Amino acid sequence: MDGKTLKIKKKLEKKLLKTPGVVGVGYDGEHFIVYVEDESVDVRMQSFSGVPIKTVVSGRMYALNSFFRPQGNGTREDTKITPN
Amino acid sequence: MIDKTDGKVSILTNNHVIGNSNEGKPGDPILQPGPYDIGREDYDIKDYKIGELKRFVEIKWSTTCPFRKLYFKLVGKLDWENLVDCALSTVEVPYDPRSFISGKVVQGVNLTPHVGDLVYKDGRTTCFTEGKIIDLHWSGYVYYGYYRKAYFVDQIAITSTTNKPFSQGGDSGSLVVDKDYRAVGLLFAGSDYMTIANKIKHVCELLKIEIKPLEGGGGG
Repeated sequence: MDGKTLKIKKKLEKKLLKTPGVVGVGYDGEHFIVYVEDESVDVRMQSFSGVPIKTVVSGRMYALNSFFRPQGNGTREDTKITPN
Repeated sequence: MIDKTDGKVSILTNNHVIGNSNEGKPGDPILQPGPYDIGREDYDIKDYKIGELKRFVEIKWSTTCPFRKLYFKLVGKLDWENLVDCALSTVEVPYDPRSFISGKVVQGVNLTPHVGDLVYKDGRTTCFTEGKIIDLHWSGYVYYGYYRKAYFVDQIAITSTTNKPFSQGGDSGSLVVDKDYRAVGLLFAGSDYMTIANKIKHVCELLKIEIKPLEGGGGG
């Protein structure tokens, strides 16, 4: 991403990331991507400073530690160590 | 991973995995499996200890201070910016110094991945999965629990290429590699739809480590 696009993206982040339901902003080389929690979040922007905007439903991002977002029921057999 | 400060093979993972989200201290015991997977409280630490915490890069939490918020507004910033959630541990058990992903040796790093590249990881919960990079410039808030959050910039966003998720809770700390098994990222966050990884160049720079193919053989 060139310096000019990066500056515009920073402005977009400041504008959008305080909006409820907007969880992230990205760039895929052609579009700014606005990541939203669910389909109900309407960004109402087609473009920003001439760069087209695409909206993607991504959900809210969580750190993927077992404590924060437990999944599964234990350790994989191939990473288990036998206690001494 | 080689710790460039002492030349020793070390374990790379997330600050929120072994650094207790900034609360850890160098020398803290690192357990495998982790306490959640041991599944009981009466375990003896020495039975599971594999190393000690060396260091981590601090996670700067989103500010709640009104004066700091005002300052950020005045200087045109949104919040404290984070590039990585990473930490390093010693290895105190016999080990193979090479890093493996699903049995294959990691072949160094790829510092210039592209949108559309296929990537892989081997994690605690979802094991070996394939994904695709959809964004190399993701910025946004990541929640640590339900209330605490941190603002991350310049991250890799990945979606699954199958009907199963690329990652789930417990997969944090997995190394993300490209099709040639070169490291591109360090997995740390995600949702039901997407996974977020730190760029490996930021991890290596800020944690002062090196990832390169190593010869096999015993260690420790």
